[in-house]
Amino acid sequence: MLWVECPNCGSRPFEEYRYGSVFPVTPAAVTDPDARNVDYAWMQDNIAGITLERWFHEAGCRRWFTARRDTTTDVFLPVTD
Amino acid sequence: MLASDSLTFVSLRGWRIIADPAALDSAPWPSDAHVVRISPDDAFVIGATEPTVPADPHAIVTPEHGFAGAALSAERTEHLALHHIEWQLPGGARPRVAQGQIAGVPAKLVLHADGSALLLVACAARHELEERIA
Repeated sequence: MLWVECPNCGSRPFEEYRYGSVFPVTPAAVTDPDARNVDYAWMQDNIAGITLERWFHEAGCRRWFTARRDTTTDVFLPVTD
Repeated sequence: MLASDSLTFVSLRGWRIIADPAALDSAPWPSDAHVVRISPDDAFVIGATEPTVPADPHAIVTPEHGFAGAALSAERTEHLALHHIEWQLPGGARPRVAQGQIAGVPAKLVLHADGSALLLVACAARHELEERIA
């Protein structure tokens, strides 16, 4: 069972959540606004490792939050700003 | 089955408030109000008197008729936690709001100091939850 830590509600089984997406990070080297939009929307990295992701706690507080997850182990890590 | 402790849901009338978290922390709630803090910026205030949030001029306050509630005895709350809740009830000070799936239905529990609780569920899911935990 995969457990996800909601910042408002605590640790809950993953089926209470809706997965949003990987939090897209556009490289700073891409400077053209249109190119940045394309990169943001379409250029998925499919990282094997630690990713920033958006999750929605649908069965609890109904809030979106950002989580860090290691996609190779499914371990959730603390988010550091 | 707790035969001596029937579960009766009633529709709740109250107010839903979306506001700055600090403003909600300091809001002067009406004396007849029962406040359920759903998230830092979101509160469900059960009661007839319209609440105000003076510290946030942009607060959104709307009537909320979408929840049903049932008062649970300490015994039934314990039974619910043992048999229908997969996650751990929060420890610490009471009253405290816990929310998540109960018997597979999204619901909320307002846990009181004496072990009793108020079970809240969206009206649309009320009968489903009733059937599952009866």
